[in-house]
Amino acid sequence: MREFKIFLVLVIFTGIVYWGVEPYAHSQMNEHTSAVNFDFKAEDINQAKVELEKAMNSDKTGAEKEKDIEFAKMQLKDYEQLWANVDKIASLKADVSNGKEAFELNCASCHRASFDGFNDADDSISAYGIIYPDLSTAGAIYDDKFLMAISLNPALAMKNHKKYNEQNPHPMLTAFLEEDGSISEENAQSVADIVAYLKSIGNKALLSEQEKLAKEINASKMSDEDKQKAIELSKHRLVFEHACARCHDVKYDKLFAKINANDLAAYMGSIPPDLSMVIRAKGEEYLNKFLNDTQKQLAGTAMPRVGLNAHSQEEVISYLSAVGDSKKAERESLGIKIMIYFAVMAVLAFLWKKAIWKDLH
Amino acid sequence: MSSRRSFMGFALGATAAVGGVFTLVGMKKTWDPLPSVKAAGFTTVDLSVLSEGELRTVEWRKKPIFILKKTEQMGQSPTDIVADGSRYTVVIGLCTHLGCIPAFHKDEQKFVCACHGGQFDINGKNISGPPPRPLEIPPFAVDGTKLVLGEEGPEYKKMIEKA
Amino acid sequence: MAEFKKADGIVDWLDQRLAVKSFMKVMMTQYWIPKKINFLWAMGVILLTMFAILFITGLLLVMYYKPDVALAFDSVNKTIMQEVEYGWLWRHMHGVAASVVFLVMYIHMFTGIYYGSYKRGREMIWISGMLLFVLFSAEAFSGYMLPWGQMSYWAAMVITNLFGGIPFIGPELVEWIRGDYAVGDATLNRFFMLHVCLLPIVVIAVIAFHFYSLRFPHVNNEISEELDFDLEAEKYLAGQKKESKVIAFWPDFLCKDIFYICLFMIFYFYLVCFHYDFAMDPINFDPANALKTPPHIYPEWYFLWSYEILRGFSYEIGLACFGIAQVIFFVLPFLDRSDVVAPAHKRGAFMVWFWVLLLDMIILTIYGKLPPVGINNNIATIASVLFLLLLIVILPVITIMERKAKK
Repeated sequence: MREFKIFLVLVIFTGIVYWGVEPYAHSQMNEHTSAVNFDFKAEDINQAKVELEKAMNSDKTGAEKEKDIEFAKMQLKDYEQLWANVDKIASLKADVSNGKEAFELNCASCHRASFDGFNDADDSISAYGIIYPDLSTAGAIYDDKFLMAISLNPALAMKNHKKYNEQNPHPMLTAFLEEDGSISEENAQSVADIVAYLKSIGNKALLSEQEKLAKEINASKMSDEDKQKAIELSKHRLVFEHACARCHDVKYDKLFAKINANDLAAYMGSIPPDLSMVIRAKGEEYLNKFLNDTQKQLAGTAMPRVGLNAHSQEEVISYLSAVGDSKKAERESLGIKIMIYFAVMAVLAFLWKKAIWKDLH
Repeated sequence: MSSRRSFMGFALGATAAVGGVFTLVGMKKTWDPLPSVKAAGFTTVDLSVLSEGELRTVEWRKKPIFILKKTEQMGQSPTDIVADGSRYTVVIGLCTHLGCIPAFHKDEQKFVCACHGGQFDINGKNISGPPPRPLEIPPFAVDGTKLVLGEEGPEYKKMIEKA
Repeated sequence: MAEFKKADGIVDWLDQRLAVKSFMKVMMTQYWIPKKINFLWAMGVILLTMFAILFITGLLLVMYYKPDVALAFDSVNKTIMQEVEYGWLWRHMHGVAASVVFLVMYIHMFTGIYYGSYKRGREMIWISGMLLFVLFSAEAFSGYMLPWGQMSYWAAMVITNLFGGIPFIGPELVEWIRGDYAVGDATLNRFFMLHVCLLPIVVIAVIAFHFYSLRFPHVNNEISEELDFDLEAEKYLAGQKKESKVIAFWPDFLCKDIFYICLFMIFYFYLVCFHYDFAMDPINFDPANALKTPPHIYPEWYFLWSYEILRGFSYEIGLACFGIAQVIFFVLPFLDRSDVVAPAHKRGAFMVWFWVLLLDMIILTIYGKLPPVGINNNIATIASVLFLLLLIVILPVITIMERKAKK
């Protein structure tokens, strides 16, 4: 009984220290942020409100504080207007074949959609050497409403609007909005059609790429089990390649950014980090929140919110886990086995001790 | 109760020993070549660019591999690898005596090892000196005009069976 | 030359040459441990087990680790963690054991303080134990550098800079320790040498010395009773095991310890496989970047209390207090001026002192990790002052009073 009491004291003190240096300390170091939310309208307006509140409660004084509040108010208004426009677009009945025409007219001079034969984009007009993304799979990877939002106001949708202004406009130029920020019926219809078109080819494009990869893997000389795993991983990697690998390396998987590092550094301000071990460095929860709303999790980051939908975000995280924490499954199954082994050992040791101590007590 | 005592001690010791064996097996595996090393254990050689009678040396698993496209005059041997109608001598270029690399003497049509004077004929068969065996044949698979070293193809298995 | 007879078996053969039977008696079957002890007395053997784990897993890791600033991070995080069979296991075991070993060491230390096990002939046990603590700290720090992540780099930066505070030679000393103007390749290489070669050799030697220092004063017991070990041993050997106040190290004492070790291993492997972040900080999975300090840097949990003492004051005073805190426990046997050897709960004021010290160190530990802003700084200063007062002033006063009361 006495031993048990001592043990209890030990557990309590160890527990307090653990609580203090781990959960409590980390809760004090990291800002509390709201949960992942794929309703981008609600997410952005909430976040704009949080930032407005922060600006009003900040320690700054005078003109500087006024300026911050003014900016936060504008930001909130901008987001409300942007998402109101998106709501308007989303309520329209869209037509895929009109969308294809509208895509050719509005998008194809910069963006490819190679899956459907759009290959005429002029890369030389690209600013900073940044290659504009091929939108073949965009409809499958990104959130529909995000695609609408980015067509209207790219900087605001990607949340890197603080970096751009009238003198230094966002490299993606769109002209769907009127002077006053509203959208005409005609333009709204065009955007709705374009997004419908991208959606119509997105899944097909993704599937065809998946099949191509699966075919290559099946033709290789791996065991069936390994093939299964490799195919699974290739699906995750595919989404990552489209969504992230224009800028980020994953060198442990021999995946390298498509855009030249110097161009990226000039455009982004620094070279985007290699993501091989990011799953261990940041953890799943952080990454999920960060991908969902970059500025919320890391204010001031150069990384844009890319607008992944829930499914493709899952794929990206699965990919990063598979690369950076490849032994997770083995770790967990082996862990249980070792613990059971020592439980058995403990029982045997206890019985042995009891047999020996019979003579001693 | 000393019998119970020794039994429990024995049971504990035995269980600990089992755990120890598993640990040692795990440690042994830690010493195995890495997957990246194993994956690099395959080398593909394009045979179509070889010319008759010329010796070509390629590296496979850090060893030199002699590849010789045989001419008519060189005759036939059961150790020849046949691909796309031509016959090839493909051997690991390490003397079976003590592992030096024999030199190809084109005029004499044989391989001569500088270390201890071992000699091999055009098919890799030991003909004089200390080498106890012919030059070894690496595992291979024929894939059209390509030769994949490191993979045990049906031709290789057949050749090994005969030997 | 002794007389060698034809041996009647392998044991006898060895015994004639190596005296294995007497050796076993001296080291095992007739090495006497008091009977009245509790599970806290198992910490020593658990520590030895942990050291063995650290040593063996360390050997396995060294086979793939590359001490080079360009290669270190990937050799750990790619080769060892992803490619080598069970490499991840050895690394997790090594990292977690390095952290947990300090928990057990602190328990071991505070057990010693509680039961007065550093007094009356046991001073050298205490001092060699403290030496081990310092050596383990050096091992922990040098090992933490090796993965060359962000925490490795910035911890190395901060800790080597500490030496800059030493008067006159500071800046030159820092450069000398680093072998470079900043933490770099030379620094990594020399700390690698310290971690895998010099320090382990010294640790093993001091562990041997620590055990040796136990032989004459013997292990203390739960009621701090002074035993006549020869008399009690006679009883034990005469078969009066129940009456004797001692037990043999083997198998009586160790069979109990093995049981505790097994229980401890369940806990340890739970941490290794499911709950390792506390010992393997996520930030260290970011490669070292000399141009970007992480938003929060902090030492491992076991250094937090002394780190907080460093933070609690202005630069010079902080450094001096930090220095004092590092060595103060060495002289504990001489700060406690009372010759009473008893468990704390029989020592009145000392009991209060013990718990206040423990709580103060816990507060220092917890606040050591919190960002140094606002009220946190005040608490740091108060707790640091209290720590120094407790050891330098209050402990001698209490124990002098105790000594006088006894007369």
